[in-house]
Amino acid sequence: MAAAIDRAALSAGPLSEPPAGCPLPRTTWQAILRSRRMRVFDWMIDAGFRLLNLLPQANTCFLALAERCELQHKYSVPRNLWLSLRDNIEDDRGWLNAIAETEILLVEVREARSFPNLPEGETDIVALAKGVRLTQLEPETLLLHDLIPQHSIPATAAAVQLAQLRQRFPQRQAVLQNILFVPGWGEEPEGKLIQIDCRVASALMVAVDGGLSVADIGERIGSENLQNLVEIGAIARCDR
Amino acid sequence: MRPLVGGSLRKILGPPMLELASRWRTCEVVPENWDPADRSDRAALSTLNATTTIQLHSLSINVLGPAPAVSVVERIREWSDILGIGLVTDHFCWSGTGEHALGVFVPPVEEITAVQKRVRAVKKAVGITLGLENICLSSHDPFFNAHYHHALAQISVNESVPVLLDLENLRLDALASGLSQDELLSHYDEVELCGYHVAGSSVGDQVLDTHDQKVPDATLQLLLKCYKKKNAPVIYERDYALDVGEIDEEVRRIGACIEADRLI
Repeated sequence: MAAAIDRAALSAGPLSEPPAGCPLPRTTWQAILRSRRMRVFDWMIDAGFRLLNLLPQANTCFLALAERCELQHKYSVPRNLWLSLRDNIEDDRGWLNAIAETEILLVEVREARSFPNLPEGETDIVALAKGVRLTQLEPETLLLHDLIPQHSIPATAAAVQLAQLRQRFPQRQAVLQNILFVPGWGEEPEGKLIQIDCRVASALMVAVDGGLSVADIGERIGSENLQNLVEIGAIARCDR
Repeated sequence: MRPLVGGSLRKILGPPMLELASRWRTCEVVPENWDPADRSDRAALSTLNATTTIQLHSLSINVLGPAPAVSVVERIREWSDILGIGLVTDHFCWSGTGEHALGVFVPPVEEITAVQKRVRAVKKAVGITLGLENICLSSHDPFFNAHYHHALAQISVNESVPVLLDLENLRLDALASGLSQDELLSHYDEVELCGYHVAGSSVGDQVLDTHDQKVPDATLQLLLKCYKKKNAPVIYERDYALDVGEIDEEVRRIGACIEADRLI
């Protein structure tokens, strides 16, 4: 029955009828499915999508989303949820969107990846390791993220805190900066978002496109940066 | 003697919550959320234990599941030793299998003898007194509701396992099924109670225990009625819409209601 609950709860669609032979009453079955869906919602907040604690009706929107999108791959849910939420939220200079993008990355970066095939010699051709990607975020959003409560708060308090958060937004448009998105592996399962300079970003973009030798990358970004990238498992040997 | 009334400790609310809980006569701690190897966790609960009566309330033993969660049982035992507490409660339900950790409460669907066997095994594994709490069934089926409460009460008596009676869940079960609260309560006449849970739920399409509101009058009345017959620690559960000030007010209100009722 556990498998049937997971399948029904995490598949897209309205709360289903109990399967044939299920001894649970219909309303009990549907309450269980709803609770299972809400576990994904709670997990997203715990994993870093704190903005959901401030947005009115976020849980209702989530349950509506669950009727259209499957929840099996929980790491992809925050982005889908934000896409369905953001059009109804006033965000004139784009700061709420910038915070949401950062928080979504904080959730996504927790998705564990397999052990990367680390380079061994200077002539090895390397590319970004599986799961690692170049992306962008506005650094100020990390500070704003820290101001948002980590737990559910009453609706009236949420409205007040959202208004206070808006007052903390800088009087400028968000400015995105290059970030290396490094999901967790081995002894660092939580993953990292690492700010990188243009030089490292452009070298990695070349590596993404066609691969570069370890020596080539080292020449472009310096041996210390190269060593750091290897240590965090950001680049991996291409098997050709 | 003044009634033991308190709330459930929410770790995420930090020092203000600990400070508040230290002023309650009792408070409930979820042992798996606190790490005995972490010095600050150990200090926090030991300090709290010096000023209030801690109740250990687990959410994840998976009492009626295929096997109790070993890591959870170990943690309960550790905290039991550290704090000198001989009782832990969890829910009369299952919450997952090896392949599917649902993390939600599912009522038993097996024969009562099989369920009783599982309770006996968990009681032995835990090694301290085990208490069992009724969950919210959200069921419109009166027979299913009555059978659940009957099974919990019967197993409680047969296995000498006290019941943590969740009165909000019982009220919601009555509401959903059309059975009277008295009828559901009558199952527990012969049962030893180790505590009461009260909470408040949002009203929606489904009858759910949402733990995000103040305690409704109907649940409070139910508490007063039960408390007159059997007194036991009372815990206000609040898991969502958290606000330390509101939780404080609500615990005070519940305590005052019991005290006032005892004076009548």
